[in-house]
Amino acid sequence: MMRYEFMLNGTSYMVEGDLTRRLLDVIREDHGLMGTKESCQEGECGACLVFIDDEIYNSCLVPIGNVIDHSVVTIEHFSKSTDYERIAKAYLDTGAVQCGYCTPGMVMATQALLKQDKKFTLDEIKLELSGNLCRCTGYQTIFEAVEKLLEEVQEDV
Amino acid sequence: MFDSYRPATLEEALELMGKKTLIPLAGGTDLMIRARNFQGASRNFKGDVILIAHLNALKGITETEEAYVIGANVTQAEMVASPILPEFVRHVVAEMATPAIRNAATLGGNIVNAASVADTLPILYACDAKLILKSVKGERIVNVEDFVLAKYKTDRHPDELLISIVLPKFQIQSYTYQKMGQRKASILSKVSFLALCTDHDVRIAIGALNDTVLRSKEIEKMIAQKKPKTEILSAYQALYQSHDDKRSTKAYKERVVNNLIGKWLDEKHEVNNG
Ligand SMILES: Cc1cc2nc3c(=O)[nH]c(=O)nc-3n(C[C@H](O)[C@H](O)[C@H](O)COP(=O)(O)OP(=O)(O)OC[C@H]3O[C@@H](n4cnc5c(N)ncnc54)[C@H](O)[C@@H]3O)c2cc1C
Ligand code: FES
Ligand code: FES
Repeated sequence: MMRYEFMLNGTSYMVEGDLTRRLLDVIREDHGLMGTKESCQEGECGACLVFIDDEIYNSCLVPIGNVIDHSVVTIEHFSKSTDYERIAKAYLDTGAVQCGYCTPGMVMATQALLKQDKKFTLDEIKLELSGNLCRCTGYQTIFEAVEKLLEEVQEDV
Repeated sequence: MFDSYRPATLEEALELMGKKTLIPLAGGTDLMIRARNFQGASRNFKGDVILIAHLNALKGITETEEAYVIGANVTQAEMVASPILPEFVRHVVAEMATPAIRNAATLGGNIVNAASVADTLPILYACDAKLILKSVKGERIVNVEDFVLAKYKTDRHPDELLISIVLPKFQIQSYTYQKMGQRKASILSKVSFLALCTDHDVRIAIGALNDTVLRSKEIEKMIAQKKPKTEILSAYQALYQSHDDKRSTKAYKERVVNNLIGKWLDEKHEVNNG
């Protein structure tokens, strides 16, 4: 029998049994990490985003077998980083958080955008966040938060 | 219940597939939805599953003198970021899905799933792409238009994996791509229109209208001969076999396609005359 492992938030775990279990279920049920949300179950809403090797993925569509030998990071772990702190501050400053259900995924998509280290037009920001649905804010405040973060980066240069 | 396998190599995968019918699972962005089930429950697969996304033999983009060779496991994100692939290919793929989906979704999955709305297929049809399939019995090379038989139906034998996609190279002088959906990204195409002008011909591939991509080399010749627009449009009209669906009506889709072709012809002739 092959021994399969994957990393979750910096710790290595065994993968056993059904390899088609959703990464989302493993995160929430086996590890009790509830920051990764489930909503649409079909890759449309982005509530379930996680990082796999630093890129965003919809964990509702990732079979656990596909993360063997890879590193998964959820919002619980990402929230310990300075990148997260900056994003959280911008979101709070612009009022981009209401019920908060979409926020973990939205924050991760924002990090994926900022990481590209280039300029974005508003239309491009919308495309980068097109996989994340928010029922509360109407998006405007979220786009403002991202624009603010992009400006900060520009000022740092 | 079903079993799930994760062979270490392509050879092992093909050997397993030679022994019993298995469902290949790549990025999962189509299949995990089709197998959806209650939260927490195991997925609802109709048979045993073989994971293939990790197989290195199906990864990577390379080029030869004559062609680009794209592994079936190459993701849409990798295609968009590729320094090798031509701009029109990257453009079409960049308009697919969302950033997170593009990280997972593979080219092989888009082809073998064979949805009528699959956005990579018009590229393949326009390029006269060839597909390399393998089983324990050996390898075969199939033209894309012979591989896609109908909506969600391909000529893949149950023991075969799609290994790579060969896109012949040619000199592109200009291209046009239009994807008409409700939103810019993240929406399955209502209809799409891809036109390539090479140094020796024009190629037009229309996606999401008929059950499979519409491409007519006869009409492309008429365009090259500068036949009148009305003649070209009615030649295309005769090939439309769309029907009403969840996303739009037959009449709407055909009108959109006619407008796209008509507009492109007008612009092209302007260029030719000027
Ligand atoms: C939110 C969302 C938006 C989307 N937007 C678009 C869009 O804009 N345009 C579009 O075209 N599609 C879109 N899709 C559909 C999907 O992302 C693509 O079809 C994708 O390319 C499928 O690849 P995959 O690796 O995820 O395939 P999987 O789901 O893993 O597999 C799909 C099918 O292909 C088979 N298969 C996969 N690889 C192989 C292989 N190497 N050999 C043999 N069989 C194989 C599987 O058995 C299965 O039948 C979207 C999906 C979602 C969830
Ligand atoms: S729950 Fe995964 S994208 Fe909506
Ligand atoms: S803040 Fe409620 S869904 Fe976005």
